[in-house]
Amino acid sequence: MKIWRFWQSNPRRPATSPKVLVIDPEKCTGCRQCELVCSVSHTGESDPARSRIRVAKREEVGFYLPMTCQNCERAICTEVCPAGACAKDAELQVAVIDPKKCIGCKSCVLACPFGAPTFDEVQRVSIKCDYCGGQPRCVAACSAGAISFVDADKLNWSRRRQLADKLIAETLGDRTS
Amino acid sequence: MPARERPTARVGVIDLATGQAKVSELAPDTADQYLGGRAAGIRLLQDYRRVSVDALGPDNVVLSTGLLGGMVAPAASMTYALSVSPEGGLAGASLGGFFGPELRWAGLDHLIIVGKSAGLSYLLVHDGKIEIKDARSLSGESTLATQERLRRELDDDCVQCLSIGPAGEKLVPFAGVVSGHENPARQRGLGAVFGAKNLKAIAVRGTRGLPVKFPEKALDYNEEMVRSIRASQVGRQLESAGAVYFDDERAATAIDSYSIGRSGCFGCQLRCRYRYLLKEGTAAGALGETVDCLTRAAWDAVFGPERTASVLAAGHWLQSYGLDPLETAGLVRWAMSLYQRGRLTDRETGGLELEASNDAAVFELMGRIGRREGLGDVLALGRARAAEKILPANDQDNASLDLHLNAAQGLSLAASVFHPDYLFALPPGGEDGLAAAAYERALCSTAAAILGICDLQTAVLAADLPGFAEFSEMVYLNTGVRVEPDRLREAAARALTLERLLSQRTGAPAAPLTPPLVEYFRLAGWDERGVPRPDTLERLGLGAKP
Repeated sequence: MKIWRFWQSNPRRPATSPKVLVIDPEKCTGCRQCELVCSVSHTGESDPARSRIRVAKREEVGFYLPMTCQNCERAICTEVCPAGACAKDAELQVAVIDPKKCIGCKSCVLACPFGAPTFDEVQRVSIKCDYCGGQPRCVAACSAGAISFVDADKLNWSRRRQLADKLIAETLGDRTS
Repeated sequence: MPARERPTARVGVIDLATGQAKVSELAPDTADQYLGGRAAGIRLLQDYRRVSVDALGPDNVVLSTGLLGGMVAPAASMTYALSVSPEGGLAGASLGGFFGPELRWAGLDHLIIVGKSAGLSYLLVHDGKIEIKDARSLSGESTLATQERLRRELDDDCVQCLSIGPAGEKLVPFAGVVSGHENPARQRGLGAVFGAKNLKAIAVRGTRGLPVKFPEKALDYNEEMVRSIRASQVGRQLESAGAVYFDDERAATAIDSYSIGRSGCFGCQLRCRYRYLLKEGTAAGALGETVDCLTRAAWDAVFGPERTASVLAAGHWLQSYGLDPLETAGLVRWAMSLYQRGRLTDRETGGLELEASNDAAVFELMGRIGRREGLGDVLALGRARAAEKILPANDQDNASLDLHLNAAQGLSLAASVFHPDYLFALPPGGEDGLAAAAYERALCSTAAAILGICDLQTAVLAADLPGFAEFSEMVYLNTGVRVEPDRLREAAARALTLERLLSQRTGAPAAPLTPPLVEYFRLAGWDERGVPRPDTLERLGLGAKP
């Protein structure tokens, strides 16, 4: 109880934890529905080249990895931007690029260790995932459940649950069946 | 009355002999009457068909994508490849995967390939530019390796390819074309047509956007469609058991130990394909995909029950060589039966012990069929002609492959010019209304092929899945063009009739007549032998000589 009260009253802790997109490549079927809905909702066109999420596909080994913004706490994309176009959004706590300020220098594209920002050949500016204003369309569209949108402080919950379930099945299996 | 709205499409015509390519708009009357997709493709095939048809001549090929290919609709992934078959009648493939959307992002909706290239070559379509490139170094390469090598040569992971394997190059009359890990079933020699044109592969890459007329509405409508598809019985079956064990959900666990996950075609929420890693045998380490349950049944009959690993490996080799899984299974089964009866000896099999337990020998025989070596060269002639060569005249061997098709499947197969993709998932229908249901399915499937969406998740399989009304809405929200459900239905009927005419004119073998088949013909406006009646041609605007 004491710890709980401390947690609530800790003044250094932000009121809400930032949300992050969590990707499970094992569930991804490589269908690229995420690229479709992302490009259509941001540009009005079906155009994976302008999608903020891209699936890196290795067909020869059957491995699919959807890649997008990892929402780094210390976001290099914001640090390298010379125009002040790429900055954390106060509400969503994710880096977003203001197309009006972007000078198209591609520094963020090169700096991001995850290859998340892309240069948009049509608008001639850098683009990146903006969480669709808080309700990412790719999450809703991914029927395989490979993309989820979770609070950063709950990132490891599903892992813990999985492990707990496994142990329960192993140790209590006889009693529950 | 205001003029009817019509979709537009861009058509690329490539002459392999001269190396020339030109791009133009789809003719307005074709767009009016056939709208797009496979329906427009069949009209283009008629317009561009070579007049004299010799067996295995380099006949012309049409590749068509649908009105919604790559757009906001469930599994808008399809490409339709059409030609005249080396065996008479039409050859065709409907390919899922990613080729069709990429072709549309490259700025083209239909490709017409005429002439024959001097040496083995491949076609590269990149953002509206069409080139014919040398493919001699790919000679004899498997379909899967060809795709991988082209991706590497072009240094682009997003390149999508359609390719033939050794079987197509060697003009095996049941060779197919493969895109990704497609299952080249019942394409009626399309791969051999590619081979006869010296066309090893088509590689496409596109970065042009496809504007969506009402983006938010289209996305919302699609989400609604996807929800209802996933909640339906067919959707749940495809999602849980996939295409391999569609008919037997419990058996799906058999594949689990080989599976490394599921995979889906472009924009598909049902992921009906398994990705499996082969662990042992001659294909150890290879990745396979897409064996549907008819193919599985055929290879179960070759190997015997409970041989999941062997069936999956067979799937891999069939895709690699580009061989029809059902025809090949029939021939292998027949050769095994002849071998057991001593009609084929080790000398004739080239030392292959053709036993069900000997996978390596079976796969080697498949390779020899694909490469046309030894006994494989004889079997590649097909069952009837191979029998003339290797059996005494008085010997009959009836070992055949029974796929146990139900009445609905049998009728849909007999009535179709092209292999219906949905065949494996058809539930047995009652005797009543069998023909009416089959005709309705054919219309709906053709309408789905106009849109370029996979017909497995449409009203073809169940009434609670999207049908004509929903198709019409999808077309409107994506393209802004109003195509009423009745107009879609009429375009589908027109395409089915034109397919029928073309197929008969090019010498398709006739299916045995049964009362339900004759009833189907009547519903389609064709006579009792399946020839479209003059009044039907008149009604559909196909005239005396369409």
